[in-house]
Amino acid sequence: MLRRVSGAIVCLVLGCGGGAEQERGGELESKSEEPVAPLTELPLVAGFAVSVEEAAPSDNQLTEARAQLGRRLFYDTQLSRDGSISCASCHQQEFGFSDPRPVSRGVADRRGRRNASQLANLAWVQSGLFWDGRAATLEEQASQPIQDPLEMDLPLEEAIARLNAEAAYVEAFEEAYGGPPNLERLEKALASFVRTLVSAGSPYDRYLAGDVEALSAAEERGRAIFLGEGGCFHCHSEGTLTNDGFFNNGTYEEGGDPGRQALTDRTGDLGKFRVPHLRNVGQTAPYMHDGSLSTLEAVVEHYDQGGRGHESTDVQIAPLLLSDSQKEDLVAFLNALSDPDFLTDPRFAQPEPF
Amino acid sequence: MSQTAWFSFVRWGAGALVLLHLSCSGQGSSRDQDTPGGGGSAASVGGSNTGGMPSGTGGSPEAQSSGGSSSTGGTLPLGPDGFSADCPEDLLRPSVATQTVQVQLDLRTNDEPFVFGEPNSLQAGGTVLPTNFRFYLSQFSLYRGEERHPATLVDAEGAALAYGVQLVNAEDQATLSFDLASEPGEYDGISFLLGLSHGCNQAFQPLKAPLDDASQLKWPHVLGFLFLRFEGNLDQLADPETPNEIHMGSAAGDAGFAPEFFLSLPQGQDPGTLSLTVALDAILEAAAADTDLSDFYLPPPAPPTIDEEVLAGERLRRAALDFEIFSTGLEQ
Repeated sequence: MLRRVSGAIVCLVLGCGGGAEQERGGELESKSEEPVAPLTELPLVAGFAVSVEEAAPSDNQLTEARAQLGRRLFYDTQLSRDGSISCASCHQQEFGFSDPRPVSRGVADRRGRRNASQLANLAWVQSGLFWDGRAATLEEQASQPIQDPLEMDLPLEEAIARLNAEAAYVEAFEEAYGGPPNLERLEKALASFVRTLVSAGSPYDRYLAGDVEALSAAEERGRAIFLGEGGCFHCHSEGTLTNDGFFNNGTYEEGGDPGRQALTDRTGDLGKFRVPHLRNVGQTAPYMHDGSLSTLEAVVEHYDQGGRGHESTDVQIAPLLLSDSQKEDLVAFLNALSDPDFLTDPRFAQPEPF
Repeated sequence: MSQTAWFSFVRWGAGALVLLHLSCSGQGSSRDQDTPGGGGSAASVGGSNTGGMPSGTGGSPEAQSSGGSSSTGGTLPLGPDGFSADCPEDLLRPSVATQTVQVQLDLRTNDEPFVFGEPNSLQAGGTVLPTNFRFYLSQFSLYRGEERHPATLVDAEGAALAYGVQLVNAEDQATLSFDLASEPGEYDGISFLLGLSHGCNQAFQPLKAPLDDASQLKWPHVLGFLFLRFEGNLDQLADPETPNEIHMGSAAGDAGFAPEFFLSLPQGQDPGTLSLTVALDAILEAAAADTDLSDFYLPPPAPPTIDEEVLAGERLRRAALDFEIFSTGLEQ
């Protein structure tokens, strides 16, 4: 990966020419010949002032052994009650580590409550994980789906027992954390892997890095709408593409999922959900906390209409009155946030068995 | 009239600002002419600066600007607002022995405690249900008579806060209390910016908290930061002039800066604590004030038609010093 990134930078400096599309194609073609780099060789994402390593907590500093252990756990179906699903069942790499179903299905095909969040660039989250922010850290988040009855439905004691019954896991935990599997180490390992899921190779990223050719004319017009009359930037800041906050974006309808209000009990938190970043948004359909919008065009239409009209809707959500061509440009820009390398990076794929 | 002479007459407060405005008329920005780092108010009211604050004792930029010293010990050049032209992340604590003053912000609406996320009654009638309310405070100084003493925002361990900035988030009680380190002694006045210095507002490269995207106070790249952000739902009884959104920043380059407030401090009380009242009603009133915005503009990528929340923010920025947004319990 590091070599690929370096190659891309050299290409930008030399002005390889050929336009955005060819450059994207060139990167993809050269990919399969590259050796797999360590998980912990990570680029810095535009908009963030600190590296993944700096963003990691002091008691769970990022190491290759920890990230690789977390990767193995992420794909291990042992962590579900009946051995049928893993974290990766609902967070699929090709979909930006999200789920193409409106809401995920747990063990025994149990229906989840919300759309599975994408997992890229979560290393920098400060305000809480999940759509409602109920987990303060990646470590705190990591074990919740394992024990959630609608998801993997496995008591954590049983999960730890299963891991301790496998010598290879005991050895891997020893190498990563200096001790056998326990809940704290399980959470830390999973969090370490998720921290390495960094997406920073979209045309938009290259544009921010100074490659003015990286965006097509339509994508550039879409960016201007995004930062201007579309008002998208209010929540999706330039660079990081999220303000890390919780807002009612007009998807709430009477009697629906109360979102953050279920945690805070505040009147004003009704229908507030976490603002996701938008990298790979073209691959993470369906959209919103409930997966109720199936396409980017539908998302743009939602905001253009000012949401669904409930009185709890944030005051910033108001009809935009964009023209059809503006909507097309906005969708073009959103698709320019896709990072093909991230979606196919073998470092993030299911590992070989022990 | 010398600055010292008028200051001893007017002290701080709204009355002072009127007098200062008159005394400075025809002289351009008083900050340009006064001592570095503290020569004039950063606020622009009605399109012109209302200058004036007490002169410092040292006169050197290092002594005057609390954000003016880098961790390497060098003195940084000053920006057009009189504060550091740069925005160093690592600030030095004052080099002399220090005392710590704990500042407690008391957010209020209609003289009642402000409650985030719940309906708050307004002085102008009706209620507001705030869904987002946050702002920056920076560039604190304390005063002993006419002497100005820079005060450094510090954490519980005494380390200077990054960039010398406090992000106040009404949703997070922990941000309503912060510490100022200063030279030991009693003080009778305090000043600070509601917002950021020009140097920090122009720092466009990614910065760490509290100047990161998670602050929710970033404007698009070229527009710098919001200084204050308010969003809330008004009920039907609220005055139709009351804004439900305020996005106050300073995107007009050198044409406008963050409002700088000067307040007298109560005497004879515990010098280790200071309660600072923040009145949401006054913020809403200032944001709806009859203020001339004919010269106001935003550069691209802002659309040609400026949104109402930005206009409300600019009204607030220009009129802020005319309203009792902050108070210390004393008649100002």
